Amino acid sequence: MNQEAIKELLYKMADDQLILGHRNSEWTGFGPLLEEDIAFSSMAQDKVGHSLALYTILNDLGEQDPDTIAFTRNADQFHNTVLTELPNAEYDFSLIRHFLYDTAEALRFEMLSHSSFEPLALVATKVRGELRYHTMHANTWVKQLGAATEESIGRLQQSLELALPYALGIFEPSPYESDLIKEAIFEGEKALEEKWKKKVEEVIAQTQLHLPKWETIAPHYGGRTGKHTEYLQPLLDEMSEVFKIDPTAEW
Amino acid sequence: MYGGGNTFEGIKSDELTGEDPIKLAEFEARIERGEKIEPSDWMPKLYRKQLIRMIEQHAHSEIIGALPEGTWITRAPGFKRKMALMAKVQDEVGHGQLLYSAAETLGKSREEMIDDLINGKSKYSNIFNYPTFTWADCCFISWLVDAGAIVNQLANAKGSYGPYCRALDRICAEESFHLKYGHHCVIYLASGTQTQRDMFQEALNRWWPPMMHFFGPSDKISVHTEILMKWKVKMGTNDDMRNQFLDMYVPKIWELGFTIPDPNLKKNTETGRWEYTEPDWEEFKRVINGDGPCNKERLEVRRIAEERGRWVREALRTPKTAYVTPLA
Amino acid sequence: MAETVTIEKIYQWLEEVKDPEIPVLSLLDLGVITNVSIGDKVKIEMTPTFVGCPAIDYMKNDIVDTLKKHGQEAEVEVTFRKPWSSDCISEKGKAALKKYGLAPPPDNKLFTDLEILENAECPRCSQTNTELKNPFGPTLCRAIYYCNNCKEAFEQFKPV
Ligand SMILES: [Fe+2]
Ligand SMILES: [Fe+2]
Ligand SMILES: [Zn+2]
Repeated sequence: MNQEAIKELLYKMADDQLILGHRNSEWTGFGPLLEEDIAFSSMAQDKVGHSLALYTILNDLGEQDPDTIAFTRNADQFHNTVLTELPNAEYDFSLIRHFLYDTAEALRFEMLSHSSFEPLALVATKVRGELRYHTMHANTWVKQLGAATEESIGRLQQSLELALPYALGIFEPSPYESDLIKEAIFEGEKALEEKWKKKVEEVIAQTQLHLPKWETIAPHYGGRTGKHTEYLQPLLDEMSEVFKIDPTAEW
Repeated sequence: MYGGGNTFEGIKSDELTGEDPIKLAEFEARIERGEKIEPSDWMPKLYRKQLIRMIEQHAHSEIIGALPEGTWITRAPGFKRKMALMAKVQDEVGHGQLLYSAAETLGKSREEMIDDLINGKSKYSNIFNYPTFTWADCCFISWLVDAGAIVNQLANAKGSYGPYCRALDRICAEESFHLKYGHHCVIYLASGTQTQRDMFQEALNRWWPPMMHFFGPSDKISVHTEILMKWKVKMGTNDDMRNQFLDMYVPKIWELGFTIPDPNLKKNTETGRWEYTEPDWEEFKRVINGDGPCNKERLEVRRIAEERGRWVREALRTPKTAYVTPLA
Repeated sequence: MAETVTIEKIYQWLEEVKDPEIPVLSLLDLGVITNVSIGDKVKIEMTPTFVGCPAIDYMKNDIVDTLKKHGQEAEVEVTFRKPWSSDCISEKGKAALKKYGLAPPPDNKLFTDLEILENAECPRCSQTNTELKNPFGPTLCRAIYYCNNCKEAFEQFKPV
């Protein structure tokens, strides 16, 4: 199997999970209601756990250990999509990001549960069950707030328009796309994107939100090749603040 | 987590006179027999009032208590710690959720309780008004503040009010997991580099006085405490709880090679009680009345969160789905 | 290695290892022990309830410590080969959960959408006049419900 292709896939998935998990965890103690504090920190835990599982596969493929990979790289060595690194802003943006990202993630892990690369297929099979709760949570809230008050609908609409270009960045084409497809490791970003669009349309149609035409949205690419916004490095500095006091120490 | 430094409202002498003496006697007999009082059972007004106050303070302590540790989730060193701390802090918020709902069974809504928290009418455990400067402060809380909370909660779980006791049973099981996690974190600091050891020693020096405050001042034995203890609302004196905590944890702290910043701290082998420098109760009062290092910050965070979340809660009042609404 | 050790013995010892947050539930009843084998060494395979379960290291250590107490060295491997689902909880485990005040998970195969989640059985009164309040409870594996009959919240071990 094409190791480089597999590694590229694993890195971008793991980095996504770690960075978005980090962002989600920033809601702990600040949610609009306790239930949401708990929901976001649950999802944060899941995501960080998923990233660890993926970094562990990378480690088995000869990369460094998960702590070193996660806590010592700089922003330009991260492959997460830019959507995940943007600040939480208000709850409406966090919710929309969660909806757009987790819809894609759930589909991706579903696809990967049939991967020919067994270690990934095993993790994906497990993860996809957990993600049901994430997408259920996202869908319920988007449907609720996307059809409630003028303010809630207005806020979600604004955040949706803001987030969509970044969301399309999730599917930034990979140089290994054809290898992955050929070896039945992953059906590819293009196939995922199409499934994702359908799902998003389906949920948004049940709200009073308006989805712009896909062809009018310019995808924000770059994250997959280490081109990030000014928000990522401070996040990483914070994440490694204690770890870097003494990277050789055991904490 | 939760401390015994909670304040019980002074009991006015006429508060019991309005109660039906037969019902009251029956109520007290049930408690005496070890039965639990359930939400729809008859209970004296005073019992209801004091319980609401206590459970509410406990719930507030859980969610405010999540803040000083919560700020370290994004900085926790390594996956293992990060995931465990996330889980722990989430547990604490979850405890808050369960406890608010236990208090609601007595007739006060969560919204009213949160309002009273923000406007300063109701209190939370004093210890969370101190700052967490380093990772070691966070470890101190996870281990020792949680240890103190367990001492209290295990006692309270034997109380008389059913919903509170049941919530506490499950909460205690989770707290003991927190304790294990916290203890591990400190063991790693203790057996680590000099920097790591110093970090924890400094944290211990900072946190010891508030830890001694945690259980509250010596109870004056009064009619109030007697009634509350008879009704199994209050389950032990503050001094007893403090003593139990010292008994269990001072040896463990010493074992790790740390020094407790109180030259007078020792166990009197004759009485079996710990002796220590009398904590500064003036400071305790000052902090509980709002003048501690972090009181304003903690409440401000809560206030801003409430403020920023208002539109969400309003949108939920036009319900299409039930499950996203707050409990009861 | 002691000569008398058998797979049955090890299972018997494992019965003593409890879930760190639910003291009435053994890891066996929770269903996270997926294999026990005796080769050169005693090897135990386990799988986490949730990928991000923070308790997995503690469980691992508890297993090793417990077996050591019985004079047995063992190695524990965490794998996803047989992924955990809530259906892995034994009947005995489900009964213990209920007694402890946690609603046991409904059959996971039935869990296709929200409908199933709407009405859990209250562990106190066994009625289903209940409402899901939050699919995310205090720990990853629990959801929070409200029983309209008892007027009290309860937690459910959620179907996954
Ligand atoms: Fe707690
Ligand atoms: Fe705790
Ligand atoms: Zn019930």
